[in-house]
Amino acid sequence: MTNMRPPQKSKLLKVVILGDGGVGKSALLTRFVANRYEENNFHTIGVEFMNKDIVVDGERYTLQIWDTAGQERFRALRTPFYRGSDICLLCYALDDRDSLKGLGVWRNEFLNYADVDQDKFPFIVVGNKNDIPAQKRQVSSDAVQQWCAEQKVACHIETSSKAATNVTDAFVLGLRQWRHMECVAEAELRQHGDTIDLTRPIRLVQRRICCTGGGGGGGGVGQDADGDDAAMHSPGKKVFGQKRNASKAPATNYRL
Amino acid sequence: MDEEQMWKGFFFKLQELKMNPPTEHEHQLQDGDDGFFEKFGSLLRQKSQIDEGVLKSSLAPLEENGSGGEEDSDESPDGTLQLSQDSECTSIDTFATESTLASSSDKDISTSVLDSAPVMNVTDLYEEILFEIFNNIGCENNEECTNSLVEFVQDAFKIPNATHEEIYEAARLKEPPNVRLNVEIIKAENLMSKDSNGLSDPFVTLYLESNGSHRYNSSVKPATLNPIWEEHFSLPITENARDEVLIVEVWDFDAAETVKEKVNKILDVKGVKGLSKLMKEIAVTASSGKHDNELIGRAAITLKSIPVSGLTVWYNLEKGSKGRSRGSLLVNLALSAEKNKSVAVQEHKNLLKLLLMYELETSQVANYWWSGKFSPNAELIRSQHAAQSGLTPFDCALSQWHAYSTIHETHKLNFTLFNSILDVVVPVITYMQNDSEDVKTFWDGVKRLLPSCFAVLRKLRSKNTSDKNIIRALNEVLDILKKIKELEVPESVDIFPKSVYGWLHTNDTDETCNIDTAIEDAINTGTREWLEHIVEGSRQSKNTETDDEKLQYVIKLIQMVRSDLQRAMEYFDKIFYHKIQLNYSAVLYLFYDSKLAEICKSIIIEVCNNIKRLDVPDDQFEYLPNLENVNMGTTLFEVYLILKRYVQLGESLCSEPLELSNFYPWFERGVTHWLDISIIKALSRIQKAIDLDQLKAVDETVKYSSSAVDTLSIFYQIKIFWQQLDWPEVEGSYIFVAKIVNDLCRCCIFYAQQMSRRVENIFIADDNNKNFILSEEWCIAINNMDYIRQSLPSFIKELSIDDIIKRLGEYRTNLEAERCASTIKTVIENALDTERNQIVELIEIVARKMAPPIRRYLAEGAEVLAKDSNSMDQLMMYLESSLATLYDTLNEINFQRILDGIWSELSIIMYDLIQSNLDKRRPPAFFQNLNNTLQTMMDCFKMGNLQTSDIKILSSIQSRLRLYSLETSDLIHQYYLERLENQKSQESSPYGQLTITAQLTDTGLLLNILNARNLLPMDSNGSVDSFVKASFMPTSRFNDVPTVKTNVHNKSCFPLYDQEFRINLSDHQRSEKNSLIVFSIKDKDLFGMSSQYIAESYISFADLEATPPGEQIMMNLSRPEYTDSESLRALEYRLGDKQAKDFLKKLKNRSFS
Repeated sequence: MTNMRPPQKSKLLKVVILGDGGVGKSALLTRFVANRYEENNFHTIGVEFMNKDIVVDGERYTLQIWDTAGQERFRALRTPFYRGSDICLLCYALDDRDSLKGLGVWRNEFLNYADVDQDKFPFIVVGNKNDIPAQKRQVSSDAVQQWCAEQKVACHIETSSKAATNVTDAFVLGLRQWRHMECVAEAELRQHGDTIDLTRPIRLVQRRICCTGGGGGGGGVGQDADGDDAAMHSPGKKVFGQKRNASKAPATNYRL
Repeated sequence: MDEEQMWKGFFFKLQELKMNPPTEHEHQLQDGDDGFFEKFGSLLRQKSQIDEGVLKSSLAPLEENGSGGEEDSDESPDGTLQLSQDSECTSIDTFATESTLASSSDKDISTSVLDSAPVMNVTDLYEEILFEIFNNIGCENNEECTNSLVEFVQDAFKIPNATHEEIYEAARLKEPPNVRLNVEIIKAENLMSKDSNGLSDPFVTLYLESNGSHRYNSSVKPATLNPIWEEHFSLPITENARDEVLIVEVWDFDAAETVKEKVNKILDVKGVKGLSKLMKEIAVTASSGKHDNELIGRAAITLKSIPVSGLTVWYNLEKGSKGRSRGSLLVNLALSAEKNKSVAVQEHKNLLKLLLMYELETSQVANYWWSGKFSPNAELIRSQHAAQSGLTPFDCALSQWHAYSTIHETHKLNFTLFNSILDVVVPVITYMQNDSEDVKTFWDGVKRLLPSCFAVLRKLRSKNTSDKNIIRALNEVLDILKKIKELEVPESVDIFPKSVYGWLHTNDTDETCNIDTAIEDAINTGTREWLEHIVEGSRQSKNTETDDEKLQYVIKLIQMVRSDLQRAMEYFDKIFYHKIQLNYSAVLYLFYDSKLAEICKSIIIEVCNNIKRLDVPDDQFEYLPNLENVNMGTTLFEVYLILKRYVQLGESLCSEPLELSNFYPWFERGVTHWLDISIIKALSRIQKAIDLDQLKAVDETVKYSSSAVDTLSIFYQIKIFWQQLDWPEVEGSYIFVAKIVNDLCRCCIFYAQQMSRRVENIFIADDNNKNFILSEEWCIAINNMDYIRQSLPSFIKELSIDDIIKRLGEYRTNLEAERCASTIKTVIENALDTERNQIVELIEIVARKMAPPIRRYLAEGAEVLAKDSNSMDQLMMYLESSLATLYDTLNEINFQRILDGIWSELSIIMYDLIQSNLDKRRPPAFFQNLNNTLQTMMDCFKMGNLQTSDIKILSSIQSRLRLYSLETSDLIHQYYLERLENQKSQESSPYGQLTITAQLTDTGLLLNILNARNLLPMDSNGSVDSFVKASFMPTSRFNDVPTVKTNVHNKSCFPLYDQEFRINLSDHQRSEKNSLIVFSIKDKDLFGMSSQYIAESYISFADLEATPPGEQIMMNLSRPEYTDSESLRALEYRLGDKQAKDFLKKLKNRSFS
């Protein structure tokens, strides 16, 4: 008869954002986490790290997002942060044709240092600066689709951090891709029965647990993620690790 | 043979020169009768030798001569003077020519002397030296000494006996040298007066006793008794110098005026002939006039008393046997041989070389040792030669400079020697013309000496010499260079020929070279040679050496350079700066800087590029890679630290920018590698520390165990590494420190996870026990995790993150710095929160494991109604022992957490017990016991000032237990009390309102039912036939009180009852404040016997007392709702209770009517 259950726990995922310097990686992160656009131009020094809680399809997630410096001189210094990633966003700018061409180099750098199976890792290609005038656009949709087809990247989305367009959708897309690949991995494990490959780390959903507290609620996105991001008013960057609320006695609701 | 011919010619000319005096002497003998003319000849010779420009007049007493003699003398003196003059001129030219030849052949002589010299050259000098020994002058001369010197010289010159005998005889047969007595008549004092005016007109006549006819006269000093002459005379000595006596006479001159006038004309004399004529006139005048020179006094001086170095003495003048004082005369006397100065200097140079070579051979003197001290025989021979040649101290010093620098080229001499020679030479050289022979000789010596001076600068690192000798040599060399530097080098002298100074840097450019640049180039050349030496000595075969060996090579290289610099700073810097104001170690460092940067950079970058990428575990920590085959990079870090200290040294030494200052980018990949290794090793070590942990407190003062201490030690080592790294670039510093912080956070999370697993394994073993026994290990585990968690923030602060962020803000912008600070802060907060959740989860596990025994004890205690049951005691004992263990072992925070956890479990247990036993139809006593038990446990949990966060749940549980503990009648009353509260909270009612007045009196209740309003119509005609019935609750308390009711008021929704009732109540009944009066309003049915229920209202005795007497009370009417009442729920569970069942049935009817 008791309704006492352990408190809901969110899954912890690590997201890394890669791309040439100046394509808008940090702006993407700031818009997603703090729903703010920074007009001042600045360069990321090495790495930058932020947290974001999100609810997708009824599941609660905590995203640990690492934004990296795109300049070449930081290469030796940023690569150690690639390991342990669950999702990788490959960013280019719609007004910079070369930044799309460079995505291949970024993907290879990530695969080299993160040590993941390239066929089973969720890459999301994100085209930033979707708000620019049409005449400034240098990258066509066909070009991106062709690149994705060649590189076997399944997901691509265009965003605008300035106009708050599709920013959350990009991360939700990554989440869904990750969940899909996790399901596939579990199915494969069941198919192999008792055989477990000990040479590779086993990624099980149940093991990734991070308590966010029942009282803390980040901005959530409903089942339908096609809405305008401007309508989503996040109360600001959520401070991770709010004091955990004690479990409540279940409410009795009997009818005679 | 050419040299031999040259030397023969030289010798013959020398012999010829020595023959001249006898020839002249013969002429003098022929003119012996006329001393006057001889005196003029002597004056002319003296003039040419002394090189005095001023012709001085001199007169001597003249003897009477016949007329015929005068005529003869007139012709003969002319011829003699002319011949003598020509001879002197020829001699001067000859000397100049020979001097030039000697000078130009210096090198040849040097070469011949250093190699086996031709016999003729050495033989000539040998004969000369023997000759000088035989004719020793001064008081040192004696037979025994002569023999000793002869033996010494034969050994020094290495002359065979046969040759020696031959030369010995030749030297013996040579004419004694024309030893000359150099006399300076300085002054006289207190002369005797010879004139009528009380004064005298004194002049001096001097001559040798053996040759009285050859007299020398000074000038006349008129009218004085204290004359000052300061005139020089040189008297040849033909007899043995030891037996000669010098006679000096002072005369008073008297002459006619005409003679004085003629004497004044001497300044107008032109040429020798003019002078001859004037002297003839003076003689004639003197002969024809009346005059008589008077002798004032005489002094006789024996030459044997004159030492080689000369003598200045006052002599008393005497005349006859008279005792009267005639005055004193001051005279300077010195002996010398007649010799050409250039020839003498040349001989002296060669003599010095031969004596020095002999000295070095016989004494077995080491290099750089001999400092100018000859043996007594050698010194005596050298000084004799100097004296007989009339050499000055400068001449001797310059000869030494020449000879010693020549020898120094093959056998190094002590630099002190050259330094002292320079002290004598430099002051004189400064004032000489650049084209003079002496200046040329000096600079030739400089050219010979400088290479060895610079060799000392280049060879300061020689290991064959003790430091003391090196320092002494360095001092002298720098002194020498300093003195030479102060001189202006003549343009014709090239002191840095390329053939000798190929290592000079200026040879590669068009820059002019001087002593300063040469010194620096010498230092750099020596440094380069030393560096090449250690490079070759340190490096192995380049093709096969491993990365580690390359790094070892770099380390060894830098250490050797460092020790060289250390030695320079300790021993040489002070000397260089004091002597020539040069920062020696700075020169060294600047040279090493470019070379080391070139060598180290390529090696380090290559090694860093060869580093293999590590397979660093991800955040799942499923496995840890094997590091056995991984290059730890220890040597690389050692190189980094050595380079860092080396650069720090350079920044204190030099103000120029250093190439090595930018060494740190070479190590970027290396640093990343080190950080990766450190995280892997840290994780491995944490795992091992946890496996080995006994889970006992480290000591009595703390509550954590060994693995926590071990983990913090790991963090401490990482911090030490970071502090030693001291990365200078701020952006790199931030990224590295961000990585370190991230890694430390991951270590904390890993530690928490592994510690949890460790304790969970203990739990599995303990599952076999009937009751969960709380172990100390479990508490220690929680304390460990919490200790690590609390230590992390303050530890990370020690990584100087604030300083890095501040510098980053200055370097970039504050906005970017803030984002960096936010990143690090977020990483730390994530780790702390994750670890805290791990702790909370562990606490929840233990709370859940304690739940079964608690549940069992509670159930047993509640079921047994007897007071003597031991279930409660057992429960309290269990809780007390568990909490005592927790309190003693956990720290305060975790103890509070565990209380919260246990209480949370208790809440669940109590709720479940209540729910399950409701289903079992437990009697109220069961719940009463449960409530008592809960109260007891609350008291137990409050012993630690419990501030539970579940207070609301607790209130809820207590409330429910209290309900279930009530008897049925009490439950019913509780229901009505709830109804009253509900009635009060309503603003209006669809059933209408009832107005009353009521007052408690001494005997009972005075109740007046006044009216009702807006009653709900019950009849089809829209009206109601109502009456009010009042009853008292609880019924068990008022069972003897009858129900009162009003009259029926027909067809009115606003009836006016206006009926008063007096109800008797006992004191007990009146004192219960929660008693209620229930007013039921009913509709009387005309056709039926029953009344229809409309609604009801309630009022409590407490409300009555609160109302002023006589005031009307209006109450909302309502019907009871069946749902949402806890009391009703409790009553529903009492299906076996008739009272409860009847009440529920009645209530249901009212509710749905």
